[in-house]
Amino acid sequence: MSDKSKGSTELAAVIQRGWFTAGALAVLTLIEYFVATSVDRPTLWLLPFIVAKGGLILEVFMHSSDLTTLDGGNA
Amino acid sequence: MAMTATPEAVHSRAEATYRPAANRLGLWLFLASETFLFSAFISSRFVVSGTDQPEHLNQGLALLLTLLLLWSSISAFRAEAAMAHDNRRLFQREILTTIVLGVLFLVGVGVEFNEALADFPANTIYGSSFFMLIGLHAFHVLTGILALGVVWNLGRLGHYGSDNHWPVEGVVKYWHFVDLMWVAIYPTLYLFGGS
Amino acid sequence: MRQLLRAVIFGILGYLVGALLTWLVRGGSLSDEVCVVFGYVVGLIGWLFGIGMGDTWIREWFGLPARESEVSGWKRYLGFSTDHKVIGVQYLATFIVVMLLGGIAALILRFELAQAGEGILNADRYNQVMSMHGILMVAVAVAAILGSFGNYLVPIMIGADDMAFPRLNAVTFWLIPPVAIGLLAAPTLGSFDSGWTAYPPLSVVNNGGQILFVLAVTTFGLSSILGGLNVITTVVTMRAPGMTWGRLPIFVWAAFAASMISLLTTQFFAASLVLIAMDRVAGTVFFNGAAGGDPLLYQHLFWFYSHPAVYVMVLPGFGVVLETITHMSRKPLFAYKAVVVSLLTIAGLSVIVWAHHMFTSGMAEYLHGPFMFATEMISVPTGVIFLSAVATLWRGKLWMKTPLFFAMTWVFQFLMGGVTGIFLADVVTDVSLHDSYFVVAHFHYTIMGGMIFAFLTGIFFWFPKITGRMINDRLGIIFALWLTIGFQLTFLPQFWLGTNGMNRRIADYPEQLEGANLFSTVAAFCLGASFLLLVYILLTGARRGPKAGNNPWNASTLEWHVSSPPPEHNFSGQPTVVGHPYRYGTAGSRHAEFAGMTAVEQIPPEQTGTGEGGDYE
Repeated sequence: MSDKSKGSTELAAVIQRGWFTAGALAVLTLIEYFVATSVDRPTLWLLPFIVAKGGLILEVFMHSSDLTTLDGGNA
Repeated sequence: MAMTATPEAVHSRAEATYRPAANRLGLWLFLASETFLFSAFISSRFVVSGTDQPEHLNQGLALLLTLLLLWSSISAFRAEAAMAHDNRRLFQREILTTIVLGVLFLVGVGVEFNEALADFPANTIYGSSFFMLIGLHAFHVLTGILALGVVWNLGRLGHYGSDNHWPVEGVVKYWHFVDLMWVAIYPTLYLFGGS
Repeated sequence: MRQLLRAVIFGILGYLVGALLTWLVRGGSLSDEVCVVFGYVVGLIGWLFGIGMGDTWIREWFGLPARESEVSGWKRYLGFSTDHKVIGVQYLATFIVVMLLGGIAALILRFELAQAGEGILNADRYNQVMSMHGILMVAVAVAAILGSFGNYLVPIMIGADDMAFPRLNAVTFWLIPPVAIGLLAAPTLGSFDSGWTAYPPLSVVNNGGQILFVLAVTTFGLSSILGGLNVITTVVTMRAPGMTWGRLPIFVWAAFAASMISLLTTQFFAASLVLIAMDRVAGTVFFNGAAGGDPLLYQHLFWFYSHPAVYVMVLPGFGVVLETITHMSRKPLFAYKAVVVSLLTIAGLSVIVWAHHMFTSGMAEYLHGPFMFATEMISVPTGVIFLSAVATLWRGKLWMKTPLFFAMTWVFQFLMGGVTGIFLADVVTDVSLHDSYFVVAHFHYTIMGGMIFAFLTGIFFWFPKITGRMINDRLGIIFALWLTIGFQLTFLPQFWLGTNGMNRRIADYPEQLEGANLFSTVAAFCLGASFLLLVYILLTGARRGPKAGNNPWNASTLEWHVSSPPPEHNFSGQPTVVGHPYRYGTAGSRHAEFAGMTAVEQIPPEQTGTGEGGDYE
């Protein structure tokens, strides 16, 4: 019982992190859109948005940290 | 111990130690390779038409598609987290949400294609890049939806648990990857040309 | 057999379903390229499903238990086997056959070129045969070593029981037959005549055979990507305990580096061919200059893969040759660490040199300098590998058997290929040599000399392991000498022809070049005839050769410490690696210990070399 409730609070924490990330991505997208439609030659201005959004997705959604533990337990 | 071990026993013991790492690495390598495919098409767009873009672009629809895909990312994320914590009901619901959002995305792409065919058909240079890139991405969304359907069904049949859900993790990671590619494709086609 | 039959039936049915549905939807003719494209795609899926992917894999996607194939013996080689050794042999046999087919095409070309004027082939037909020869041989060069020895040896050499993804591995192989069928079926749609490079605008407007070329080669690309993925994952995650990165046999390193290239850059080839298909079928205008497209885009995308592909071809060749040389000269591999660094450096540099194929294409002038410089940079790590081969031979106890003969002729031929490459890397000389027979001679020295000779080295070196029998060594050496001499006589005159104005890809030439051409043709037939001897040697060796035992070459790496051919799952106990593989000449050195297996025999001291030049730990 307590195990289960502990599991569900953990799950809630993980999901909350996901929501924060999604919120950040949405805000970044809207700012990106705003910048693109108000600046004249926006290419360079948009690159940081791509990097930031891509980084968030890789880090939080795609768990890019698994890449550090791939060696099959062999030095 | 090893003196008496049968080959099969050694085989299965070794399998258990490398399998999770091998699965993850294999998928990451595949995604790295796919990134090269997308970057080939994205760079083609800049080679043939720079950052030029036509007057008639349905910016509202594109923004809506972006947000749809983002919403499907969070539902996919929740589905994976739910399975990792053995919450099957949430898993089933969220996978289904993701599939529905993916289908909506494809419908949106269909609408977009229909409009685009009138404004900049495939035999214009921007149209070529546009249909190629959006089409490639939509194809990946479609395969993602099929894969989500497979894990939805297998989840329903009780094939997964918190310590045994690599297919879920893999499919969700692929889904996020498709979203990641959209992060680059969206400005490439809609925003770099400016207002 | 049953699987194969089912695969063929499903493939044909798939093709018909795809093509007919497309035809019903859009009308037109059944041989329209759109119908061919959809037919091919559905047919390919049907083929894979029929060959066994359906039973052993796809069923699981629907919650059904997988059905393992239960055939044994030689029939495994004709079905969907997930054993990496079976797959390695399947690759080996397939690519020897493809190589012989490509060779026949080459002889037809040389026959035409024996005299000036149009002989047996008219200009169109010549280009079609030349294109077929080109793409078949490129496929052999890309996949023959990596597919056969890469699959067969990499898992055993690192002490693993199979590849990381055995079913994917089987799919990787079974994607190859549709490629061969697609290419060989191209004449039914009018063949393709744009060479293996398929440059637009020609490849967008020529006969319908081009679409089959595009589909087949894209499938082949998929196969190399998946194969590369499998090799990398295997090497990273499945090494035996103690098999550190610094103790990997050099062939494993070479396969790893080549796999990195093929995993990533092959997508660019796929992309460029998909764009061709789109331009042909869907009406896009990527390569149509009149509508704002750019044919040079194709060349950039294409060479972004196809130059690195040269290293997909030769890096495994380097691995095979260095492996053979170190074992058969009984000496440590000279400068092991430098060789590893060089292999990885080549893999890295290979993606920033592509435009040296385009010096005369009219691309932006400012690109010439950087690409010339980068190309010449790559000769530094290549030179290191070359020096390692020579320095390992130096003062070794050379064991002059067939594999070492081949490895040594490789050294000479790769030197020729490398040195003549400098003229093509330099913009000033390339401008006049481009598109001439000098280029033809150069890349035959690098690819045939660098890759096919390494492939043959590997065949002779690992033949006892794969079949359990020895070949007739005297015949092997005769074959090595015959092939090498025939090769020089065929291709040396072509350097002269190139500098004297003979163009590539052309059926006719000025009469004053006739003498050297005739000489080259006669030599080419002599070269081609030697392959009959190869087939004879391999077949008689496999059937009647003396038993080889586990370790006929007294070599140290793991594959020589299991039976010949190795048992299922390779090792009966988990091997533990305790030392570097190439410590010949160091008393008491050992590479590995085996739990539950007979102890490793120590290398007899009279057969060890001096032990100089080691560079370990």
